[in-house]
Amino acid sequence: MKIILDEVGKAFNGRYIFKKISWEVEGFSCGVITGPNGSGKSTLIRIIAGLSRPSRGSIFWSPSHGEKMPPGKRNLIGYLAPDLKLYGELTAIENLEFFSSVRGIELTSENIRKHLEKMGLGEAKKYRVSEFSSGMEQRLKLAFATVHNPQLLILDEPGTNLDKTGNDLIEEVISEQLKKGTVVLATNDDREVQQYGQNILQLA
Amino acid sequence: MLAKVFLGVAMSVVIYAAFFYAPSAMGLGEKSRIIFFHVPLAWVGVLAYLVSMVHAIKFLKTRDLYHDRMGSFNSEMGVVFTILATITGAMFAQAAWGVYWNWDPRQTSIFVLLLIYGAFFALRSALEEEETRARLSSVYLILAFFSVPFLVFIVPRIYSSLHPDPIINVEGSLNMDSKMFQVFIASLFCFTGLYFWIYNLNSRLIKLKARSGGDELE
Amino acid sequence: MGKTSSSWLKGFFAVLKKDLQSEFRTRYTLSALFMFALTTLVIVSFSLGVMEIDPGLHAALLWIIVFFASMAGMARSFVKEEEAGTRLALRLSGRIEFIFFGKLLFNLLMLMILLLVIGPLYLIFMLPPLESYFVFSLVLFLGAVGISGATTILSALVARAASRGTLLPVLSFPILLPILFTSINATRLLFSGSGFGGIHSDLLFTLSYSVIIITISFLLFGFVWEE
Repeated sequence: MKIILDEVGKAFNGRYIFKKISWEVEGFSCGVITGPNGSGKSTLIRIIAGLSRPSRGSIFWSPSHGEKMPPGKRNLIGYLAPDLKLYGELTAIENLEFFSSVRGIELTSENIRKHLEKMGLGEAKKYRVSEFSSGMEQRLKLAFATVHNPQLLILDEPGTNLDKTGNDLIEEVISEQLKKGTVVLATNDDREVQQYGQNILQLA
Repeated sequence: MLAKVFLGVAMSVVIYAAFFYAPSAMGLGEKSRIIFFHVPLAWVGVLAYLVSMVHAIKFLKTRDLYHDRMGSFNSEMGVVFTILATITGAMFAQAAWGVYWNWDPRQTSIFVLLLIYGAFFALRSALEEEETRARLSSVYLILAFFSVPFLVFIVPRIYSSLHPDPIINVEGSLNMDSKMFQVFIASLFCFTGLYFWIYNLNSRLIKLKARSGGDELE
Repeated sequence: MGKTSSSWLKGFFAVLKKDLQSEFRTRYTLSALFMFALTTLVIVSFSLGVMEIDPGLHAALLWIIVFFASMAGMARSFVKEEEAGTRLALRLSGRIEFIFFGKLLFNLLMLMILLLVIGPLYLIFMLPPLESYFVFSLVLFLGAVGISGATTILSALVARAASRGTLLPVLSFPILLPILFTSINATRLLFSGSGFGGIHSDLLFTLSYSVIIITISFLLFGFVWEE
């Protein structure tokens, strides 16, 4: 999926966080957004995820393989951010099952189990999320973002709460995603910027 | 400029005529003169609501905050007119039928309008962010509208089965002679004109504010 | 992987199922509903004792209890998503029709459970004259449909606002007035000895108004739920 931002600006209560951002991320590539705290990385990421509308300018998503954009692009996008929270009273499996049903997607328990194992949560799948450590929760959020095979994977500070193994997992997920779609990454971590930054958008 | 002068003159003429030119209604006496003010006030209150609704719909379509500001301003105007209409209506009801309130369709719909306005402002004051506030209050305004026609139909049926006394409420039972009618219509026009004048003034004010300081980019 | 009718059905009830699971664990909504309704009923019953009261008064009391109990319990469905922080995840994944109707069905179910208990309790404590229990249940049910229908979108509005507690009754009142009036009237007529024939126009009003409000709120729901 290709993303085009055309002079995008976002204001809250009349004050602009950023103005006139123009940027393009080609399909099957990784775009990196970076900038100091408060520069609007998360705000911009939400716009790219379709969660928020720009106050000015416009944004276009065009799916891969020249398909027409379906009316609900929800299932084409995967999103991971610090403020994302899953249901604490449900188990890992129940969470993913719920979210898949509510997307209207048919996923077998087998699929979900395999996916959780890939994320390193094979052991923990039957535990309630409220009992998870922050690292485990981050992995589950990553699972949430990828279980439905999105064309666009959006990651806002994915390395939060993750140890070395976790960060390796992120690397794996990103390179896999790049084979079948696009990645947009927002981060302050210089290492991540170095690693993925062929197409960097620097805010403020 | 000319229109404003004309409006001012016309208003004064109407007010004078309401008291001295038109004859008092049969059986009701001088108190009936309130009709010249009450009905136009109620009419403008309703008009303001309808205009707010149009702005609400336009906002949801275009997301232009101008419509939100106009809509909320219209509602502020609407409340004022509606409160005045309610008070004058109650005064008229007391004079004509001996009770301040009798739940006839008009009184009920005016009351519900007040409730809707109240809820609208309560919702707005509970929302901090401009865009969210605009979006949510527009939705409420549109949704709340649908209760009004239902109430207008339901209430008289229910009320008359509860209170079968001869408090019949059709305001048109005032047979207006031609003079009264003239003043009445003139008053209606004047109040409507007043409304549009205030509307227009505020529209220009809002646009000016937006251009000069409110929105940074132009 | 794809959309089959069974996955559509599964998705449709997914939100309801999840909210029921959560409710089963915490019993938050039901406690709010019952506590309020029972307290009010006890106060009413205690203070009026064995006095014979007007059917209209019976009807008004019953629906006052139901209305305010609803206000105590109905907001929860969206407020809890807001408080738990799960609204974002739900927004990212949920099809709008699944969310709206899932929450609506949850609220309706909660109200129905309340009425299943309060209805009979009111009859037992207050002893209004009543011939047809079936028609009485119908009146209660339609009232519940109307109340849950209107409060679904309103509770989504209230969840985003600051002063949640008092806001829902204020917003609901104008919109629920037609339902309250017709339900009270129908109940009053039933307690006065009328049968189904006497109240069917009230029931028709309640039903048609509820359908219209549910339709309009569904159409508007997208504007509330999405930015």
